[in-house]
Amino acid sequence: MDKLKLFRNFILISIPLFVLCVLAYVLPFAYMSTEYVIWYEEYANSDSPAIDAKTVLVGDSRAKSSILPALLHEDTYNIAIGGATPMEMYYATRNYIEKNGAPQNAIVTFAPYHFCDIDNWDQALYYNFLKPGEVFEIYTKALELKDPVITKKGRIGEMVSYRLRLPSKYLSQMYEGKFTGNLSSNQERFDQIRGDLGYCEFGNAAGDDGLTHECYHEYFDYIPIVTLYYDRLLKLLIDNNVNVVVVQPPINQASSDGMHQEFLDGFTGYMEDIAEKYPQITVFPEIPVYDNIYFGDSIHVNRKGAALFTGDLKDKLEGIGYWDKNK
Amino acid sequence: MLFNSIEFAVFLPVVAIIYFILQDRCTRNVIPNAWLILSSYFFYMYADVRYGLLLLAVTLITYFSGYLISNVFHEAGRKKAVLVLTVVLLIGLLFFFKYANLLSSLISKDHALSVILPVGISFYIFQSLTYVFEIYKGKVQPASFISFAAFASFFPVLLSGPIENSSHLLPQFEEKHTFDYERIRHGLIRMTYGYFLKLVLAARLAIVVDRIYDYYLDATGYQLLLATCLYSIQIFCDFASYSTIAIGVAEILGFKLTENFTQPFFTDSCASFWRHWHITLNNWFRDYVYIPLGGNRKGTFRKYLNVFIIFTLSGMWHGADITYILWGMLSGLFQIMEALLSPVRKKLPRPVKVFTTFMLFSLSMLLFRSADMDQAMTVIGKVFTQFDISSVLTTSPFELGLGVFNLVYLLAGLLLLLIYDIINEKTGDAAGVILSRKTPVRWLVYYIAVIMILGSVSIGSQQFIYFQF
Repeated sequence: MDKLKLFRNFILISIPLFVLCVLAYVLPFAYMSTEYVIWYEEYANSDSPAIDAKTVLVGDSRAKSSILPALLHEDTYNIAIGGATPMEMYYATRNYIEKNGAPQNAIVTFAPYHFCDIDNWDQALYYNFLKPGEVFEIYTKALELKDPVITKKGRIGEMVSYRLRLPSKYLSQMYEGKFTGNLSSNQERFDQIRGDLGYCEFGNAAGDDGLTHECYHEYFDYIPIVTLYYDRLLKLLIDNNVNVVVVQPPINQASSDGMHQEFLDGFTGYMEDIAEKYPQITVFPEIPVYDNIYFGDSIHVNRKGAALFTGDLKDKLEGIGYWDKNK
Repeated sequence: MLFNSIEFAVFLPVVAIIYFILQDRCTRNVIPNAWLILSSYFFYMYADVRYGLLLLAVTLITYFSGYLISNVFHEAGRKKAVLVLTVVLLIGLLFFFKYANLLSSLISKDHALSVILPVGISFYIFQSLTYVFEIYKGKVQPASFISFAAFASFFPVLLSGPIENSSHLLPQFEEKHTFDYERIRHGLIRMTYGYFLKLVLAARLAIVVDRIYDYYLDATGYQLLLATCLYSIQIFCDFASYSTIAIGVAEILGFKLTENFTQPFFTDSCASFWRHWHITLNNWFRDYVYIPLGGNRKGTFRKYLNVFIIFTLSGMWHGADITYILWGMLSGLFQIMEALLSPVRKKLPRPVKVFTTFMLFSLSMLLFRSADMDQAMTVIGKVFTQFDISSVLTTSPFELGLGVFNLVYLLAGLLLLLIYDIINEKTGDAAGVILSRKTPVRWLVYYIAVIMILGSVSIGSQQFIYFQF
C-alpha cells in the first residue's frame, strides 16, 4: 500500500515536470530561435511540398544560402538544412523521397569543413527532427567508428533528455523565447524560406573578409562517420535513379588565401575519388572563389553572392547538358 | 555520475528497488551489500573506468591493513608500524595525485607531468583510513570484506562526502534496511532541499560571482567584496547541497549519514563555525591529527599550534595551490586570534559576532576563490584601497549578470533558505517539520520547491565545486 502511495505521490509531484515537457514538445515553433525554422521548413516541405520539385538542392547552410532555386531552373527546391552534415541530410533526403518520390535531379553541396567537424550534432538532437531509430543508428555507427563527438561521455543521457524534452535542455530557450514570443518572427522566416523556394540567407552583410572554417584545418582530416553517410546519401540518390551532380559552395578571397594547400589537395583528391567511385554522377571538385563583397558573413554568401553563384552554376550545368539527362 | 543528471534519475530508483528486494529475500546482508558495491563501482566508473581500479586498490590496502592489525599482529609496535605504513601509503597516493603536477612543473617546466586527479579520491581515502584508525584504537570490530568494500565505495558519499567514520557507517551495513515509506519520504525531502540549494541558489550565485571575478581588474572594491561574500554563500549552497542530497539518498536506502553542515552562518565565532561547516572533514582532522598531537591537553601554545597545523593540513587537502594552503593557515589564525581576543569578544552583542564571523570567513574564502596569488592580492588590495563607496549605489544588479527574473528568483530562494535554516536551527529537522504539516501545506511546499527547481535546471554550471578536491 505504501509503495503505491509513494508511486502516486511521485506522479503528482511530477506534474509541473510533465507540463513543461509537454509545452516544450508542443510549442517549439513558438519559442525556438529562427535557426529551428530551417529544419522545420524542410520537414514541413517533405510532408506537404510547396512545389512539385523535379530538382532538389541537398546540403548544409552553404547550400541553403548559395543557391537561389528560382534563378537556377524551373521546379527546383532547396531542401538543404543549415548546420546539417551528410548524416542528418541523408535521413532528411530519405524522408523526402519516401514521402514525395525521388526527384529527377539532385545537386549536392557541402562545405568541405563539414567532412572534418561535427559541430552541430547537439543542435540536431535538440531540434528532434531525426527519428529515435535514426539517432540510434547514427550512434551505433559512431560507436563502431569510435567517433568521439557523437559517442562522448553522457551522450545517451543527453539523447534521452532531448527526446523527452526535459526542462534542463529546453527551459532556457523557452524563457528566452517567452514560450510563444518567437511565433511571429518564426512564421515570417518560414514564409520567407517558402517564398524563396527553400533558399535562406544566413549572413546579410555587404561583404566579409573573415576566414572560413576550412582555413583552420592544416589537412583534410575527414571524419569516417561523415564520409560514410556522404556515401550513403549519394547511393540513396543513385539507387533512386536521381541525376546527381556534386558542386562545391564558394569561399571568399580571404579564405582562399588563408587555406592550407594540403587541405585543398586532400579535399580535391577525396572528390576525385568520389567521381571515380560513382561514374553515374558528375563531380565538380573545384571550390569557387568570390570576392569578399559577395559574402554576408565569413562562411556564407549574401544574396548578391547567391545570385552570382547560382548563375555560374546554371551555366556550368547547362554546359554539361545536365537538365536533359533525366527528361 | 552527477546527482543532478538524467542518468542518476534512472540509477537511484533501480538501485533502491533491487536493494529492497534483495534485503527482503536474503537472510544475510552479503548479497544486498554486494549489490551496493556493484552499483557504487558503476556510479564511480561511469566517469572513468580506470577510477574503479584506484578505488579497489584503496579498499584492498585498507582492508588488508585492518586485517593485519586486528588478526595477525598482536604486539603494539607492529600494529603501529602497519598503521603508519598504511597512512603513508594512502596519503602518499593522495599526495601524488594532488601534487605531482605542481612538483614536476617546479622541477622542470618542459617535463611537467599531467596527472589527472581522480574525482572523490580525497574523500574516499580519508573515509577508508578511518577503518584502520578505528581498528587500531579497538573501537571497530573487523568487518567482512563485503561489508567493508560496501562502506569504502558507498556511492552517496563517494565523490564529495560526507566523510563517514567507520565506527558510524560500517555497522549499518550489517543492519536490515527494508522499504519504509516515512523514511523514504524524509529522504526525498532532504534530496529536494539539496537540489534546491544547488540549482536555485548556487547556480545563480555563481553567475554573479564569476562575472565579477572574471573581470576583477575592472571591478570596484565594493563589487569584489560583494562577490566574495556571495561566494561564501555560493560555496555553502553548492557543497551543502551535495552533502544533503547524499544524506537523502542514503536515507532512502536506509542509512543514516553524519550531517555535514548545520547552519554555519548562524554561528558567532570562527571556532564554532568550523564545528558547523564541513563537519566530517573537521572531525577527521580532530580525531586523527589534532587529538594525537595533544589537542588542548598540552598547554595553550600547543593548542594554538595544533589548530594551526590541522587547518594548514586542511588547506593542503583541498589542493596543490598556495591559495588553498594560505586559506587553511588564515582559517587557523583567525581562530587563534579569536581565542586571544576572547575577553573583548565576550562583550560584543551576538549579531556583531555573527557578522564578524561571516566576514572573516568570507575574507578567507577570497583566497579560495582566487585563481592564483596575483588575483588574490589584487582583489584584497582593491577591497581595502579602492572600495569606491559610490559604487554601492551605482552598481546595477543587471551588471552582475542576472536579469530581473533571476534576481527575484535568487532573492526568493535566499529567503526560503533562511526560513528553512531557522527551522532547522530550532528543531534540528526541517524536513520532519514539513512532513508533519497538514496535506495542503505540505503539498504547497512540495510544489513551490519543485517548480523553483525546475525553473532553474538550465541555469549555469551543473558541476559541483567540491568535485575538484
